[in-house]
Amino acid sequence: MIPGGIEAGVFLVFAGLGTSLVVLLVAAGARGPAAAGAVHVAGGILAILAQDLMTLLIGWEVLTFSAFILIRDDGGRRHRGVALRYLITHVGAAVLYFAAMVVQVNETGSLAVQVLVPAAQPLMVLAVLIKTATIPLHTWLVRSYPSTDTLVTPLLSVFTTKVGVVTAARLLRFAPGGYPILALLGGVTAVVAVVYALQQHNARRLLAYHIVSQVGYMIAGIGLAAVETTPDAAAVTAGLFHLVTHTLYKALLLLVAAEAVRHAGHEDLTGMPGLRFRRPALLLCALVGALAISGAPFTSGHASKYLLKGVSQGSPVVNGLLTAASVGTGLSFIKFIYLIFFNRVDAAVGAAVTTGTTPAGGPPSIRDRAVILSILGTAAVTLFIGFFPGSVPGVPAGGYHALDASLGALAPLGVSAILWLLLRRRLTRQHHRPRRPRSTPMISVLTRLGRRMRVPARSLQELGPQIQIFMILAGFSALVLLILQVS
Amino acid sequence: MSHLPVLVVVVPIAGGFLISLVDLILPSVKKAAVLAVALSHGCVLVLAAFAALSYPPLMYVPGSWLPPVGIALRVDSFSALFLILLAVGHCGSVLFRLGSEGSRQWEGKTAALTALLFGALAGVVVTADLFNLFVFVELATVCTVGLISRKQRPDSSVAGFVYLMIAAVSGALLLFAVLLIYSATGTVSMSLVAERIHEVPAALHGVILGALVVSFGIKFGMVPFHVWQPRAYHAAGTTTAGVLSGFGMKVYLYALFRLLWGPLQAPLLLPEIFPVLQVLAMVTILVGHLMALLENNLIRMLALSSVAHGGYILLGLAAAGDVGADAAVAAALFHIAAHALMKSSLLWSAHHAISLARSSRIVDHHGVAREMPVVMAAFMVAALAIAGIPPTGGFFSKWLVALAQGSLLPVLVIALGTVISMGYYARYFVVVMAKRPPEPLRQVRSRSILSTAVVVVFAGVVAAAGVAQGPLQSLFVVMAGSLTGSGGLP
Repeated sequence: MIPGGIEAGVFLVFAGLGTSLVVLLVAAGARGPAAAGAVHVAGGILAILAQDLMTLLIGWEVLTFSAFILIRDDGGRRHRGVALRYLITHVGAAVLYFAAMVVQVNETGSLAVQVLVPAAQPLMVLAVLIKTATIPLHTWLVRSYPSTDTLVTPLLSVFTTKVGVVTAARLLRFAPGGYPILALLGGVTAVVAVVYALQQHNARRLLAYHIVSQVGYMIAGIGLAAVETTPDAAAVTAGLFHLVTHTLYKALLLLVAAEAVRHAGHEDLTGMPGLRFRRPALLLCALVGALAISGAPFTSGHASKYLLKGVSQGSPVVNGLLTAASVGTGLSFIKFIYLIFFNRVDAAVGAAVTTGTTPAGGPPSIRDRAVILSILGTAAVTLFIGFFPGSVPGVPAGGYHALDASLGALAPLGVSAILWLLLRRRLTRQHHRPRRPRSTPMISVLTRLGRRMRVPARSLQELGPQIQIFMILAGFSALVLLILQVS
Repeated sequence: MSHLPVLVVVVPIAGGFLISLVDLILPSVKKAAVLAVALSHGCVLVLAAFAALSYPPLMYVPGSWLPPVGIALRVDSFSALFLILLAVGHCGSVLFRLGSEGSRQWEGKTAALTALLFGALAGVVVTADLFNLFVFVELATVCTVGLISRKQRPDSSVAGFVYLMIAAVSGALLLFAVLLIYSATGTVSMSLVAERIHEVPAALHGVILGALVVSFGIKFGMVPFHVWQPRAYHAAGTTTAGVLSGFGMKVYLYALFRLLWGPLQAPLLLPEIFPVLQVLAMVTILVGHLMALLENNLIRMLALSSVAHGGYILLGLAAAGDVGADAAVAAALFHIAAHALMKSSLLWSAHHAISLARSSRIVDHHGVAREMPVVMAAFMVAALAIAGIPPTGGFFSKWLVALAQGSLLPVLVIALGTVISMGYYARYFVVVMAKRPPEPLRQVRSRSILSTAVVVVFAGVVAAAGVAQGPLQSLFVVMAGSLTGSGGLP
């Protein structure tokens, strides 16, 4: 059954964008990823159509395992490590969901999709925070998305985090003591992820941090639904509308990055030879995406951010965080466009950095045509939503293009422009050695602990029969003593 | 038809001796004899199970000597499930061996011992007499020791010895408990004990219970009594390990259920035991999964996962002491049935991988999936089910066990167990799906359609059980009712 209201818009994006990205993979000749990608799309559609918690969980798991296969690729050791970490993280999120579901069913006796009972909320909040890559649980996303094939990343970016947001919109109203914790976490994520993004040189890693940041906006919107002063439906609509617009322009930006990477032969933004006006259509589409994510007036990003601003009026902290994130986003995308199109790269360094495949010459192949077509398509839809936001099902009409709304959106962008003039040198400085990603502290502690535990575990199993029997007898006596104590 | 309860024991034991005899006289028809014994035992088991699913339980009193003088056999719908599992296990393992093993492995006593083992296990299921239970458990132990140490390797005799010693402790504790019951009540018939057990002082009752829990805890691998299991399964090889872990372990759990609800009346008289069992179950789940995560050897990893899954079943048992006993017992039964199929499918498909790579170390299995995609697909489906990924049957059994829990902590333990087990199975996936094997693998010698079909069917049934979970669950509730509803034995 197709859901109503704004969820219908989410469904349309999932089905339409997902299908076209799978078609793109087929056109590019990637049969294996296309099959896994089709399953991935099916998982996302299953999740959005789910009428009960069990189906939603199945949707989560289908997404997790197909993404595992997509990330694992055919690649070497590094891909495998990244894919394993992705899988474990998301199975972790799913079992928290499972525990929340057990609590919910034990208290209400029903599996229907509705706002969960208070006892189940904290578990589900944790599951959703993992799923939506809220800082500090975001490492799985920034590690896995940039490591796949450049055409697989847009597909991955459409579903996993967004299904987490949809789940939150349907099940979560978490504000203990009237304090919108979830919204604050979303706001903080939006800002912190932008700060991280500003430090990135790798094209897709930068965009991955912006996914984290933008999903923070959505979580902020949905978190505000729990506050009494905010109308529930308006907050959810704002969050999900931002999901719709962001999914489209992020896929557009990732495809632009894929084209840029193909030209440059590597992913280092500071080492990219500026394309300038050699690809005017690509430049226009990139500008559409960059303006949309920055929230410039008459773009889709502006419309959804306008709604978010409306619902965050009651909570000045969240509102301030989101505005600050807007400034950073604008700055980051001025850098993005500048480095891809207008950078003057030092020839010696540029040559040194260029290690990947040589840029494609000659007439465009089917793959290239398909990529261009997808870029144009997503850009057109983004533009259309920007001019007519009311055409998305469930979105209230009017008010987006008014003068005060436009000026309100331009103010943070003005700050971004000033910051750009001040910080340009620092932001675009070339760096010579690509840094190896370090292991996060938690993972390294766990691995070290695991290595230490191997020895006692092994020695416990290699014990002689006498000691084992002694242990059994000791265990028996302990159990008997315990029972005697109890009874 | 009325002799079915005794036939389920007599057929395989007679068959076991027949197989030995055929081996001496006419070795060329040995395979046919083994298959005939397995199939006839399977038929008898299934007939007995279906007869028992109707309400009044089948009672069988050999020679018309009524208890307390004579012994009795009894089949009700609770035991029906285990009879069906034994039928599946016996026929499945023999079909798998027919398909997977060359003629050299058919020499020796493995086939006869397997038939005897299934006879003894069926005896444990149908007996209504405590001393008889002890005899069948000991017979099963002897067969198991033979199966563990049958391979002519140094570590297999060590493993056999360790199992023998530890099983001796288990047997001694069982005998101790039976003697205490006999001295306190004056009978070893389960139904008569159930009537008189309330006269027994609580402390003595506690000691009996403790002895029985430890005795069967050793057998099914409850932490900290599980230490024999990885070593024994590794030494026994995957085929036998599939029998022991998939089906043997379940019968010991059956005995624990039967004794707690039947003769000992634990839910009524000693409900304090259930929280203790719950803690033990949680420790078992976590320790089993964590040790499996640290393991480098595929068989030992699967053995330790089996330890953990004993914990899930025990968790269902422990929840049944609380409210809603039938639902909790039914959840445990669901997990018993699902785990029997999943674990035997895993171990038997691992058999192919191990014989291809000539090693059971996980790192040696690079690229195995590319050589035998069907078998490894079955392995992966079974692994997803055993880790509890929806919509497989393994997910629903865990889900029901989790729903039966009264508090949040066991649910979180179950959830954590899923993450850890997904960790070690996924690690194996990425190894077997890796691109190029570092060295050429051995040509597969004897992998027939038959042995592949067994693992594929088992994995497929578990995966499909998720779709049919509604009717299955109501069937299991009926079976659980015959254990708890009547207060055990009539």
